Amino acid sequence: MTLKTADLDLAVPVTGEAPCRRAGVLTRESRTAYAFIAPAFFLLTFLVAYPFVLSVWFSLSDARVGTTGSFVGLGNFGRLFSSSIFVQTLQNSILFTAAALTAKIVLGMALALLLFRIKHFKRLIRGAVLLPFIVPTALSTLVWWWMFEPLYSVVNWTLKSLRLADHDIPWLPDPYLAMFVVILVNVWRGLPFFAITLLAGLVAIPRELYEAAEADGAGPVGRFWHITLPLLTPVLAVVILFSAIFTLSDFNIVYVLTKGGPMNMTHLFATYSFALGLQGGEIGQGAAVSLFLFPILLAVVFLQLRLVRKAALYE
Amino acid sequence: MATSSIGQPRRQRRRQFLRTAAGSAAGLAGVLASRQPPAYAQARELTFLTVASFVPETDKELKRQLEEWGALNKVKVRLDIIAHLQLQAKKAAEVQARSGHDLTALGPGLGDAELYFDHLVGLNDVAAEIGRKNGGWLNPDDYLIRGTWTLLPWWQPPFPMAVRTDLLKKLGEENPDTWEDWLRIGKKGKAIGHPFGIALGHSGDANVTLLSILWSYGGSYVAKDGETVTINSPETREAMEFVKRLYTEAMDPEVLAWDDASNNRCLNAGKCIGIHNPISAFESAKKDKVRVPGTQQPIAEVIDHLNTPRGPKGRKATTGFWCVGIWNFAKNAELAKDFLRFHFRPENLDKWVEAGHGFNMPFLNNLTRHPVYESDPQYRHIPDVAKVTVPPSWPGPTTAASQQVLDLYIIPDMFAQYATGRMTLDQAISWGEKEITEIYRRRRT
Repeated sequence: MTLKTADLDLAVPVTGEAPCRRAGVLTRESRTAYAFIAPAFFLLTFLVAYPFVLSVWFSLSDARVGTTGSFVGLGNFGRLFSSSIFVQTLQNSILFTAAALTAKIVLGMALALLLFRIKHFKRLIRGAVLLPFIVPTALSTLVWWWMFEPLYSVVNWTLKSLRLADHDIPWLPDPYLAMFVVILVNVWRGLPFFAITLLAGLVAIPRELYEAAEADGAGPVGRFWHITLPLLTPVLAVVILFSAIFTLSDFNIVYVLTKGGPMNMTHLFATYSFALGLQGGEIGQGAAVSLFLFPILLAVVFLQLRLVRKAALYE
Repeated sequence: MATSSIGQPRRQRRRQFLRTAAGSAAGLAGVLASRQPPAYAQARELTFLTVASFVPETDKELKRQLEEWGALNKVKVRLDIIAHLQLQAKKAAEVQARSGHDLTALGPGLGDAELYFDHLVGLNDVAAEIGRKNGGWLNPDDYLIRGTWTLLPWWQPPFPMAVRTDLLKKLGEENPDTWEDWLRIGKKGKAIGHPFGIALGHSGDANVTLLSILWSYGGSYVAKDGETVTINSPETREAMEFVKRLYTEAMDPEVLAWDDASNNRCLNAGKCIGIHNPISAFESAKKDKVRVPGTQQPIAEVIDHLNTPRGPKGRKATTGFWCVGIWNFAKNAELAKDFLRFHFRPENLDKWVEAGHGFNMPFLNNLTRHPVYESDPQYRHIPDVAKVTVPPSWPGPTTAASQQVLDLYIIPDMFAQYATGRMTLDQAISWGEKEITEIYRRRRT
């Protein structure tokens, strides 16, 4: 039997029912339905669609703070490439997203498998794992900043006390170590999302498949490779998709830890867009930075969602 | 019985609710249509947005004055204090929404006068009156943006050298006065675990100190015409060579990640031998009774302030030019002007500077001679620093472009890229020149 995710769609149309609209008059049910949908519709319109359309307009205009600006086409986007800070930001964003995402996939999977096997204090441990995801990012990142801050770094103090280092390691002053630290904090924060979502996927895999595989002589690696991983693929794809978007648009971690420094080596799209648009008053240019990857992301999202819908769940 | 007694009031509550909701909606629609708040909501209110001072007593005195003025004029007042780094985004958001506070702190730097020129109320009358009552403005021409006063320069924290006198004595050094002196002292200090410290990262202090060095070596980033980019010069090269030596020989790499409070911490933790910074470190050391590590001696007793250092081409410094202005979308612009007149009265400024213990020096001649600068021997050079302090765009005029050069930390990044060896001298200067030229070109179009 081949069961596809599309087959699980619950929104099966009821056939043979009379159309809702009769001679231009809405039935009582339709009116109620529209009334229920209206709040969500207005929320989406004003809180999502309006800001998005506005930011697209800004990116295509020469708007500065306090002015609506005039249409300049793709001029802002073209101009970005003449700024070496933007080119650096582009490189940083790709490196940051790729490294953080890879680490979160590998460690998230490991953590999910671990959580799946834990028998005692299950709820307590699963709740505790979620903590980094729940604590406000600005607050938790501030604690990380104290841990890596040059003068009072507890990490350096520990390393020196254990005689693992004989001098202060410049975690935040060194461009490469600073990038490592922002990736580390992002992974720490995003890991629970991966672990808990993958855990939900793991729980949904029927036990019989493992039992059958074991009876056929499959070892732990074989079971993971041939059962767990293929059946987790749809969940994994969605998690990666969401995480890629969140990671690429990260702001808090970099802003609190490094403010884009040293020497712009940790600037991401969001922090550079903030510096250019809000601190420098170049709203149009700032919007172009933040929307720079939008067309590529849109294509990725479209393709990935199509793949997920087509992916086989059970063969 | 139970059903009726419960059911009846419930129906009434529902009707009551519907009636109240309909009434409220109609009332709200009326208010929105007439764009006029109802009579009971028309109480006069003045709102003021400012930044948290590094000497918190300053803010307390400002709040007291605002409340005193509110009570005298029967005006409801509200003072909102935010971290200084949040101000730029907050200002931009208020202007974009054309809604927010009546009075607002502006800066650091005078650039907001041009950046928000179309959104600020003209203050020529208020500025003239305040200048008259306080012995005149310090450098009035600097504050005229496009020939008019759209903001009032409010306070500056002059940047002297804050130094550890006990460590200087230990190293056999006396009265250091030039940047080269500080390189020598920093080298000796670093050898005994007490390096010199100036920020080289994305912070306001980095802009201030590196511009001070650039000018002291004869360099600048923009000419007097406010258009010609002048960063690529032999003087800049000399200044950058000096900072590279300072970074590699006299400082720790941590300065690349310093924020505006890091140098204060470095001095008060007993690590740094000297920092280029306002008197806030000394003030907090006094207030918190910080001691020299390993001793019982209060560290404030061994901190002194010397004049901002001299370079081969003279002595110059800048600082955060904190200003205050009134949005032209303010609901109560006249009340805001009236409060400014009240706050800038000599007796009120006097109390305010006293509360800040001189950290907040007004740009007014009489106030630079405030008794607080004679009360403490450590303050004797502060008025001298104020005399050589110029706006960050010097020698060019303050413009939105000059402000953006600061906001994007182009100068610190240029210096840091050479100092750390990430770029050669030529590459770093070309990088800085390209970025600054592009900013000025964009602002011309």
